[in-house]
Amino acid sequence: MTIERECAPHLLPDQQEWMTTLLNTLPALVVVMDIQGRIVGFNQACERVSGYTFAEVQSRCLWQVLLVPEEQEQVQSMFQQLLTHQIPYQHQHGWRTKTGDRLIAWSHSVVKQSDTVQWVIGTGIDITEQQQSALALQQQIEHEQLLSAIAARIRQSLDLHTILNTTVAEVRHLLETDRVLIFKLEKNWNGIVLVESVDTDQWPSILGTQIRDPCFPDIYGGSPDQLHASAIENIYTANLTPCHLELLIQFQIQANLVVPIILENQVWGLLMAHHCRSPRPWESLEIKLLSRLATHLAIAIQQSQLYCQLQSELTEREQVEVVLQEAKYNLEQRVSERTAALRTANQQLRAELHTRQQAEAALQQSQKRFSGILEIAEDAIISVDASQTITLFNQGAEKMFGYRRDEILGQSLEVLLPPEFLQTHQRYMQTYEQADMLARHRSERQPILAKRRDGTCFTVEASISKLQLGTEQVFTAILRDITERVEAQSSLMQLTRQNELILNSMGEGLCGLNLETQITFVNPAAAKLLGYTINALIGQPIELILEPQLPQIPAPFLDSLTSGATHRFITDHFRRRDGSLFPVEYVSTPIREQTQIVGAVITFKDISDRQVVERMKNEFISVVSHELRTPLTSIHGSLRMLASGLLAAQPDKSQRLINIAADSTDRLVRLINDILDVERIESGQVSMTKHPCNIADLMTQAADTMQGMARQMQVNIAVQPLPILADVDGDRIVQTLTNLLSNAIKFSHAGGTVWLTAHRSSQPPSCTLAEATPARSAAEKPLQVCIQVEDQGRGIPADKIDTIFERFQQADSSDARNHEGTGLGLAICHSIVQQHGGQIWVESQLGKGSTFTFTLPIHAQDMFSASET
Amino acid sequence: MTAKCILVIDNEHYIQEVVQIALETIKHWQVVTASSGAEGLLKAEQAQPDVILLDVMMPDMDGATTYQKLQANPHTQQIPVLLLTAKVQTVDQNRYKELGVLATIPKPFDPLQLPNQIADVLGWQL
Repeated sequence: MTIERECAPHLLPDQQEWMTTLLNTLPALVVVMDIQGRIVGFNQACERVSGYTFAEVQSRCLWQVLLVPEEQEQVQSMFQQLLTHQIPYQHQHGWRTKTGDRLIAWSHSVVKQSDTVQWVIGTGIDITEQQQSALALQQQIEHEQLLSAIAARIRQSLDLHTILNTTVAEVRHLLETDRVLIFKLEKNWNGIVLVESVDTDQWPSILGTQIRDPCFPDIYGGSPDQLHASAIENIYTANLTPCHLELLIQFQIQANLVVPIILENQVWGLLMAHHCRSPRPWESLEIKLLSRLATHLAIAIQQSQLYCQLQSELTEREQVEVVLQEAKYNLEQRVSERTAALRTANQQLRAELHTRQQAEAALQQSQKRFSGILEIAEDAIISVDASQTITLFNQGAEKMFGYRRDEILGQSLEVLLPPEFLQTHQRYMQTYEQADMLARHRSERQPILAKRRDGTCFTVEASISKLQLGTEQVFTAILRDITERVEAQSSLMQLTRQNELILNSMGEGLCGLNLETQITFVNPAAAKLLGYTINALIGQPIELILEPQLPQIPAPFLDSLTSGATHRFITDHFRRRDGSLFPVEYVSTPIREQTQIVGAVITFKDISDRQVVERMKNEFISVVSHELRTPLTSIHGSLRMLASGLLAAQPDKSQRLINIAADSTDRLVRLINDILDVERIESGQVSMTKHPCNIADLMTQAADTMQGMARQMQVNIAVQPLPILADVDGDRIVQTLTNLLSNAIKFSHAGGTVWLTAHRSSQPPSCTLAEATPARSAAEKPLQVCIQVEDQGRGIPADKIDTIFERFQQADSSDARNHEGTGLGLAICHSIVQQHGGQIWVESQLGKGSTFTFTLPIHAQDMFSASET
Repeated sequence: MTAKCILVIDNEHYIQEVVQIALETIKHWQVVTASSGAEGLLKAEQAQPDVILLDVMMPDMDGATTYQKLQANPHTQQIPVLLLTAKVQTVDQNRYKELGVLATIPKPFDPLQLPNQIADVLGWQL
């Protein structure tokens, strides 16, 4: 430093020398200026830094010689402040040295004299390197910050677009350039501007522009390791290819910094910074920054791709997860279902297994049983194969046929069949082999014959089954000797037929009842008695044939059905189909099966006739009793009186009583004789002793016999005898005539006449009581004599005409006197006439009289014989 | 004591005679006879007997009808009637009871006991 003496006049030369040395030793810059700012002191540091010597700058204004133009005014202003004692603490300003601009950090002080600033001393330190370092550091920091921010952003956000946009924006801001973009290379070295940061007010946007630089392959086609950033400060001086230059010019680029973005060892794209306003030198830091950014971008891109991939994978995965969930759900469902199904199947299997085990056990048992049954079965069990060879022959078959098993096995089945049956059997087997049915029961329609070892034949019942074992057919027959059964069936059928005959022949009605009192069986006699057909009665309730007024079914029926009691000879009334009732006597018997009552059998007979007969018999007895008693009364009374002796003194009366007794006795005898007669005649005990008799004589005899009675009754008998011979029992004919005359006289009024006449006849008239004589041809028809007894009595009621010749016909419920008759006279007449081959009938009119006629067969020669007589 | 008058209605003449002889001889009763129901009705009204012995089985008009007619006639309805009949079956007896006759004397009867039988039924003091 050279310091003008004037600056330190008070110092001694030594002190000045010492000061000068000190100031020159200082590494700091020391500049002394006067109040005009002219340099008056300038140490060696200053010279070193500025490149000026003191002599070059002495007395020159600092700001004119050393300051950068932009700071001159500021320094001048500050200098003025110094002069006014306003000392800024520190400031910095640059020196324009010969070697370039330097940044100096100054601190100032002033030298005053009398409180007036005389000198300004500036002390400075060249902080240019510091500043540059600081700047560089700052820049580095900023770069690092940018990188960190970008890295952080890359870490924080996977949105590539945002990252790229942010990057280009930050880079542009940091580099203070005009455009920063990211260019993505595509196929064939085409590419697209993916993101861009540009001041669109000044420069055009090329976002989305497709660019194809033919130089790309050359530049970026090599190994990525050899790729590096391309920094063009001035496109015009960079010796670019014309096409490249043209491209850059197109986009108004003057300086271009391109850094490849390497991704997976390939150039993914380019990070570009365009300086359009002017050429620009790219600093290494900037290049390094972009390179590092490119790396980060590559990471980001990769990350983004990964992220996208991940996203895609995630989405895919989510979709897959959804699908998987669904699948899982479905699977679970299916698993559940399958589990349930498996469980069920398992249970079924278990059950099946159990069943199978049981079946196997049962099969074993069955087989044992089968073997046992086979052996102990009474029936013959024989199996044959398709060729009719015997393959199975059980014990029952041995017993039945008389063969041992060992000697029959292997033999043909025909050995067991009678020769006459072979053809039938062969025909049957042919049909059966081809048929679908597996089993058939033979002997349903015709007996099957089998032959024993001893040659005897017997009837069997066969049950044959067919079994297909693969290709083999096995026929098994179970045979039962039904000889006894056939015989039993035959006997049963015979018995059944007999029973049917008996039932159908029975005169008594028979009907079966079930427990519901319905008719289950009726024999023909019952149906006839009841006036139904058999079918019309079957299934009908028993009430159908009972009296309608009955409140319930008769006790005997119910008793038989419930307690199983048998009731015999029960009289009741049954009802015919036409509604009329008839008296029956029935027997009610329970039907038992084992010990259980299953129904009842009612056998009944129509006792109308019997009742009539009973009634007639009772009435006859009553009448006969009366008739017997009547003369007995006279006899008894007379004899009692006579025996009493009360009439000893009255001989007339005594005689009278004797006569009465005698007459009554006669009458009694007659009655008894009549009774006996009719019985004997009708029962055939009395045979007619026929011989030729003159009818006229018989008529006369009869008339004579009845004259007494007639006189007594004051009835006249008019006889017209017919002299004709007839082969008759004279006494019986006279008996007949006397009976008829007796009736006629009895029923005639006093003073009336009874006619006894006869005439020949060849044809019998219609009569009310016809006893048909065998029909003969006209030539052979015998002649007859008709004898008639006619009266003018009161006649016979029409309802009595048909029965007048029956026994006791006059016996009825009234007590009307029947004129000493027994009711047997006409029955006797009828029997006598019938036994002579004749007929007897009556024609009568009430109030006018009756005419009894009977015929007796005669022969032509008899007629002539009689006339000769 | 006035002799009783007995009307015997019976178509059997012999029985009429036996009864008449018995009652007249034993008890000296007066006996009127009739041979039919119709005759009996007339004679009953005419004779007004103390009792009527009535046969049951008679022609034309039987004993039951005769009795009913006797009862229907105010002149004869008070005359007691005894049936004299050979129809002595149970069914006949029941029928006679239904008629309302005092008693039935079966035939053959004992003529020696007949008066007492009549007196017992009618409560006559003999």
